[in-house]
Amino acid sequence: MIPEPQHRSFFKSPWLWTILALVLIVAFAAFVRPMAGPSPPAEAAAAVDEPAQTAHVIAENKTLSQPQTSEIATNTIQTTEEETETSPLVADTPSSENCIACHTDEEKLQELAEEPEEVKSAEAEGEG
Amino acid sequence: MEVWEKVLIDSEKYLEKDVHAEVGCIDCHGGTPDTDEKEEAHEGVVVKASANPMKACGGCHKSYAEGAQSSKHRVQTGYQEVLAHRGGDFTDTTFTKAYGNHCTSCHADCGDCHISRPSALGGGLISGHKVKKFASVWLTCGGCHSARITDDYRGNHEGIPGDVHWEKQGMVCAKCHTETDYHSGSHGTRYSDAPSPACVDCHEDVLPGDGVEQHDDLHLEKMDCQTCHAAGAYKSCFGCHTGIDDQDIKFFTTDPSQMTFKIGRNPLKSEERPWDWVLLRHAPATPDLFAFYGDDLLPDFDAVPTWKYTTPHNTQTVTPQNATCNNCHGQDELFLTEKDVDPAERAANQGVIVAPEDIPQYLSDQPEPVTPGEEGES
Repeated sequence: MIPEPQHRSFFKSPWLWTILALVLIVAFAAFVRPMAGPSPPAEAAAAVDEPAQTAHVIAENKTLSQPQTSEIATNTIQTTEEETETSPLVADTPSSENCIACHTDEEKLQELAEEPEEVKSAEAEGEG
Repeated sequence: MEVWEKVLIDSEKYLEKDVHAEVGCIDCHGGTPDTDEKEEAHEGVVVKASANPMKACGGCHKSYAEGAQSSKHRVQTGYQEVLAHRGGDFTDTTFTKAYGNHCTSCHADCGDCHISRPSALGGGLISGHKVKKFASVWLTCGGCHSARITDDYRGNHEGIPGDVHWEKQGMVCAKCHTETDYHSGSHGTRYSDAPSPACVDCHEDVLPGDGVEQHDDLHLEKMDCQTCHAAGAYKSCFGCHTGIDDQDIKFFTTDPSQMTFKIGRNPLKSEERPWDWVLLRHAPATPDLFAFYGDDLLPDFDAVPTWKYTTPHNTQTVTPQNATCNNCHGQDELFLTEKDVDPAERAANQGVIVAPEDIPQYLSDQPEPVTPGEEGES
């Protein structure tokens, strides 16, 4: 009796599972890579919190029920991650030649410098 | 100072002699290189680079930059502590908006003291961007602390002498106030810790039996030095209110300031400040300080006196209240009594108001009061 040819299921093929696993690994790597990519632009990282924003940061701390000054102070200055990190400054990169050329030139500054418009309310009154 | 002078960099003082000039402008201030067009060059410029001390200064001055994270000058812990005690809720966005709009403009970063003049004086570079190791006494310290310290210290108030430490010794702020006082302090007001400086740090020979009649145990234990040695009135402020006008500009109003001299009960009595009697100065806070923003934003206003502990910087050896015993004893007007306090603030000041019967009584066996400098004159 001639044995019937074995119809081995396609899904039981070890090659299929190997290929599938490789595809998954590659896809996972592609997904994860952008998350570990470069930081936001330097200007965003260097953003400096204005006082009003600082107060907003305090407000965001919902855990303070009876704020103690030390806690408030700590929260006040936790404005950006960069604030707790130092960054060694590198001399003259990029070039400051143009800045210096203008800011050491009295005549040019007299021509170009402008006093920022004073923003004072007509309702302001008194000392302080 | 002309506007152009405020931004003029001094080639000799800064570029040639200051090590900080080795760091490029753009490294600290940002901006756009390779253009000589003003607007374009200033795109992205951060004027106050040291608003982020760790980034601007921490690379070389790490300990100072770390200290700045909690410095009273930068974080304004004093304001925060007092407002928190008055019930200000720093978790409430309405309250913090009011606080942020009106109370944070006095803070100082590294550059505000070491590079620039205070904004209260119109800003601008102090010395062509030279980074001054020691801040300018009159421009920097005095620029912010003028009304309540420098004017007293230099005798700018008519009829009231300046401080003996200035007039006789020419001592500047840093002679008494240490670097630590400026750079650190993460908790409370400047009166939260032991006196720093304390008069006895230098005047350690002030002791009972030192030859000064009033330096007996009773007086030295019962009152702080300024109570006897402040040479006259000092500035008190009143009636601060805040708001935003119809142009969306933030503003505040205050009532006229007054020169006052009031001895009261010590509101900060502690082991480090054990005295019963101290001088008091009126702070401008009012219960409706932030009423523009919402109701009852300082619900515990009365928890802190509006007549606050103070140490005027106009000390002299002989003063109107210590020239004789009876220059103080029996002089009711020197003491903060109920009639001196606005009825709306009496609850807040119960702890510092002096009851009439507690005012030291006139000593009939002692000489009549005299005006300092006029003793013996005919």
